[in-house]
Amino acid sequence: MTAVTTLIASYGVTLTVVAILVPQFYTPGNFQVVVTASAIIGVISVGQTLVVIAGAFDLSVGGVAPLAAIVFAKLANNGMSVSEAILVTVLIGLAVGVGNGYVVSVLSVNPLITTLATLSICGGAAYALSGGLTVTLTHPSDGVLGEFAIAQLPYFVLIFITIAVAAGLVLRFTVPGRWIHATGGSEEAARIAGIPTRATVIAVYAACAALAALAGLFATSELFAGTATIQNDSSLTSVTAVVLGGAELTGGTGSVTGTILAVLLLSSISNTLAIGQVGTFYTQIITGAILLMVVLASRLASRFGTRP
Amino acid sequence: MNAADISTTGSTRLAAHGLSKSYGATRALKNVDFRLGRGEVVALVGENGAGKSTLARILAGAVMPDEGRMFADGSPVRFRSPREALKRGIAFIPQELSYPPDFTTAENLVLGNWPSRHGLVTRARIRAAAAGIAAEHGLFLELERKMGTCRAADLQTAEILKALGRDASILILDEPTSALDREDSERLLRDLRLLANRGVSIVFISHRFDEVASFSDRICGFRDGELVEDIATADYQRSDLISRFATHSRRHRTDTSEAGSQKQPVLRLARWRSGGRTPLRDVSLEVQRGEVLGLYGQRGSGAEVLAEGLAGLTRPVSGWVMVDGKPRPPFRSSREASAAGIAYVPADRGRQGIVPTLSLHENLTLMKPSGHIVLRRSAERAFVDQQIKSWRIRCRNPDQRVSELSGGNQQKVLVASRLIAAPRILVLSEPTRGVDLPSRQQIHSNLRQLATAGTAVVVATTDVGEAANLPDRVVVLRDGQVMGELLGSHVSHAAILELSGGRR
Repeated sequence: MTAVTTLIASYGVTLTVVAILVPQFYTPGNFQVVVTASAIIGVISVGQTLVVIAGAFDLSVGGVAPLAAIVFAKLANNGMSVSEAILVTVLIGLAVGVGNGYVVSVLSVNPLITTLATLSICGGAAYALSGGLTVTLTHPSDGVLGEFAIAQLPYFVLIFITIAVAAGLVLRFTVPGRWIHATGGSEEAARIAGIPTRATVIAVYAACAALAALAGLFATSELFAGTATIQNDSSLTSVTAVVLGGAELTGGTGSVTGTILAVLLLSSISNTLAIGQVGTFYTQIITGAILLMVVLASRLASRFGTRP
Repeated sequence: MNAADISTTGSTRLAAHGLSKSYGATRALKNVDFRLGRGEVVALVGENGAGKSTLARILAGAVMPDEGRMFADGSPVRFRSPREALKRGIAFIPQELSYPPDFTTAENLVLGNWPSRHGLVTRARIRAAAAGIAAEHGLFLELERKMGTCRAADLQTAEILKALGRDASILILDEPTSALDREDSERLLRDLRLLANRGVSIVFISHRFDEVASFSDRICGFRDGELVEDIATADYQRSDLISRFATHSRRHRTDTSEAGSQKQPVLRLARWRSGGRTPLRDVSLEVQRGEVLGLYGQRGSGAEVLAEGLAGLTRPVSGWVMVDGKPRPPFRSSREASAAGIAYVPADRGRQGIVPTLSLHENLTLMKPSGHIVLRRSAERAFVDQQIKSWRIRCRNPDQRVSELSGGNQQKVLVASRLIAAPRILVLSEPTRGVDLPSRQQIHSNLRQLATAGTAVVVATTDVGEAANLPDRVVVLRDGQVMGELLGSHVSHAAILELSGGRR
C-alpha cells in the first residue's frame, strides 16, 4: 500500500503545482483529453501489470498495438463489420500473446529476448501492411468505440474502466489471481506446490497482448485512422507505469490501482507540458527522471526501513 | 597498539562495545559486547532471530549498528561495507554462497584480484596463484573444477581460501555447515581449527551442538537480541548446552512388533533405477500407514532423489509404484504424485518451498485455495489459524509477508502448507536443515502426531541426529542402493552410521 499512498501524494503535489503554473489544465475539455489518453495507455499498462506480477515483462505491446490499429482499419475499410473487425483484431493480439507465453514458459527463453523479437515482428508487420501510410477509416460507423458515451467521454474509456476493475478484482479475489502472484513470487516453489505455472504465464501474456490490441483499436477509433506509429512507444511507457505503481520487476508484487494512478500521473504531466508549450520532447526526459526518483526512493526506503 | 589491550588468550583482534541494532520496531541486537582474540574460535548460538546473525553481519560490515563502538586491533573502526571490513582483514562468508558457476575454483579464488603481468592474465598464472594460496594456508582444493559442480563443502573451502587470499585474518561464517553432511562438516571444522592454530580468528554460527562443543574455544549464546551467555567451551558440558534449549524429553519409540503389524503398505515402490548425477540402483521400499520412515544417506546417496521421485519431480528411468495395491509407472509430475495422495516438502525452502512475496496466509493455502474461481478467504482463515496454532508459528498476523518470518517459522509454514490437501503420504526432504532447535522439535513432534493420526511420513535426511531420533524405521542408502534397514529400538546413531559404511 505504501507505493499507492506515495503515488497519491505525488499526484496531489503535481496537480497543485500544475494549478499554479498552468491553470489551463483545469478545463473540462482538457480533463477529457487526459482521461482519453490515459485510457489508451492504461489498458496496455493493466495487461503489463499482470505480466510483471507473474514475474516477466512484455515489450511486444509497442508492436501489437500499431499492428492492431492497421489490421482493424484495413479490415473495416474492406467492408467487414465493426464487431467482426474488432474480434479478429483482438484474436490476433491474443495469438501473439499465446506465442510469447509459450516461448517464455515452455521453451524457457528469456522474456526480454522473446518480446523484443515479437515487438520487432509486429511493429514491422504494421509498417509492411500500411506501407508506412496512414489508413483513414472510410465508414463513419467504424469509429464507434471513439464516439461519446457520457460526459463527452468515448465508449472506450468505459471499456477501459471495466477492464481495470475486472483485472483488479481477478488479482485480488480469485484463484487465478493468486496463481499469478505465486508464479511471479517463486515460479519453482509454485510449480512444486502444484500450481499450473506455465498456463499462468501463457494466460497473462495472452491477456496483455490482447489488451495491447484493444489499445490499438481505441486509438484508431479516437483518431479515425490507423498508423504504424500508434502507441509504438507503449512498451517502455507501460513498464514505467507498472514500476511507478509499486511493482518490482522480480515479480510477485504490483497492483492495478498503483499502475492506474501512475498512468494518470504520467498523462497529466505530459499534458501539462503540452499545454504549457514546453515541448513534447521534454516529456520523455521528465518521465525518465520521475521513474529514477521513485525507484531510488523505494530503494532507499527498503534499505533503511526493513530487514535485509 | 596499547599493551593494556592484550589479554590472556592472545591479543584482541576485534572488540565491540554496546552494539545495538533495530529493524523497524524489532530490536535485533541490544547492547552487546563482544571480543575476539587472535587464533580464537567463537561459536554464536541461539534461535533464529535471536541476534547472532545480526552481530555477525555488523562485525563483517554488512550491517551498520545503530549504537555501539568497534575496535579492530585496538583502533576504532566504523565499517560502512564488507569491503571496508575486508581492508581490516575481516571476511564474511554467508550461508548462501553466490559464485559464478562456470568459473573454476582457481578462477574464483583470484576473482577481482587477477594475477597479471603487463596486464595479461593467463590460465597458468591463475592456477599458480590459486595453488599458492591453498598451499600457504594448508588447505586442499581441487583447482580445475567448475564452481557449479563442486560439493557444498568444497564451495565453503573455496570461499574461505578466497578470503584468506585477500589477506583476511578474521573469518566470520554464517552457518557454514548447515548444508553439509556430518563428515564434510567435520572436515571443514578441522580445517578451520588448523587455520586458528596459525593465528586466524574465527566466528561461526551453528545450530549443531556437537560441533559447537567440540570445535569452539568460546560460546556466545543469544536470546531476543541479547548476549545471554559468553563462556569458554571447556567449562561447558554438552548436556548443559542441550538442556538450555531442549525442553522435550525423547519420546518412546514405537516397538518393532507394533510397527510391523500393519499389513497393507500404503505405498510400495519397486526396482527404481535412474540416471543423472546420483543414480538410483534397484531401490525398493514399502511405506506403512501411520509410520515415520526415515531415508538416511549422505549427499549423493540417492535419498533426496528418491524423495523427489516420490514427489514426481525426478522421474526414475524404470521401476514401478504401487499405491493401495494397484501398480503403476512412477509419477511423471507433481500433479500425478499429489493425485496419488502424496505431498512433498522440498529441501530448498528459499527457492522451491515458500513463495517469499506472498503472505503467511497465502503460502499456507497455496496448494489448495478455497473456491473454484473466487477465493473465500474467511473459509481459508480457519485452516490458517489452526496451523499457526498447532505449529506455534510466530508472526504478527497471518497477512504478514512470509519472508519477514524467521527461518524456523518459514519452515513450519512450508510443512504446514502441505497439509491442506490432507495427504495420505507426506514426503519431506531435509525438513529441519538450518532450523533452530525449538522449531526443529516442534516440526518433529508435529510429524509424529501426523503419523499417529494415520499419515505415512517419509523423511529424507542427511542429518544422522534426525534419522536417529525421529523415524520408527530407517532405510539407509549409499551410492543409490539400500544398505539396510533399522526398525524400532534398533534405530540409533551408531547403527545408522555403521550401515551407511561411513565410520566406525
